[in-house]
Amino acid sequence: MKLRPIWLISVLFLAGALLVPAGSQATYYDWTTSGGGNWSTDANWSGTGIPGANDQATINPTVAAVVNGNGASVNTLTIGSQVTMTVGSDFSFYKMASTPYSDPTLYNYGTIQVASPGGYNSAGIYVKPKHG
Amino acid sequence: MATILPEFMSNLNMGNSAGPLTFLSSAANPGNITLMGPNSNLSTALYNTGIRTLINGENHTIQGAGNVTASPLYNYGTILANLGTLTIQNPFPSSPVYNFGTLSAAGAGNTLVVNKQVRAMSDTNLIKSDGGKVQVYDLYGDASPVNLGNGVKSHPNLDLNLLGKINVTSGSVFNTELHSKGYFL
Repeated sequence: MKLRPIWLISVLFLAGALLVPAGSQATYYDWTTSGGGNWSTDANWSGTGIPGANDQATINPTVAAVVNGNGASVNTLTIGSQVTMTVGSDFSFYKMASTPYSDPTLYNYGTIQVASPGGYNSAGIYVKPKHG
Repeated sequence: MATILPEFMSNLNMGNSAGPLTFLSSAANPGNITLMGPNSNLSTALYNTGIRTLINGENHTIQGAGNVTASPLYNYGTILANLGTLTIQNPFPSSPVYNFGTLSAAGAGNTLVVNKQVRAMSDTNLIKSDGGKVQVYDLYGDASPVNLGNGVKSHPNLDLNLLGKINVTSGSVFNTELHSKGYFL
């Protein structure tokens, strides 16, 4: 069957749409500070800004380090054996927004402590639907 | 031995869900998540849609006191109550704990409450207590025998259901006196 140009363009456009992820790509962040600190501090990370819901992050300093992970969001996180991460509010794992929709994963070789606030407050590690 | 992930998940890896959430670790550097008290949570079931699976991998430990909520929960590592009461929640009754690893409570005054069916999935599965209490109500030993150590008790508020093969370690006691109704399927 001979394809007319409009059909050919449509097929190529559709194929392109399927190949190009709809969401933003993951960014890889490394913890560059020698010790501990706050997740939310830009200067502690390589690259621009801080890790977000579609991103992958590694915290693996060579010395003992306490990292405050309050309010953090990430897709995949690696924590080294020297790290103690404290969570006093929420820490959220997200499925990656774009293909291949990477499942949220924690490679944990250290310690994560989730606080237990008083009263009606709570803290936790949660997984949430894809972001973006 | 590496963690074996459930085969069906390869078919469920779509974009409309949140999970599964997987915790992986190693024998050389075993990681842990410590829940510090009753208002401390670990949950893959905040939303009533999609995959709410939590996979606790081999060599990884979830411990302390607080709440673990997942549907279902695959445990290849250790879930340990050692700071008070640690509860494995049951938002969806038909969603079990698939246990390849260890469910335990250590130290007097510490209790692991399992408000879900526990389905033994390997010969190395173990439910035990090291001085604490473990409360269970629904044990399935059909895929593999359920291995019980000392200090395991039936749930005080839920009917006891036992199916398949239940192994009680020599010298151990499985206390089923807490509730009057029991079902042996």
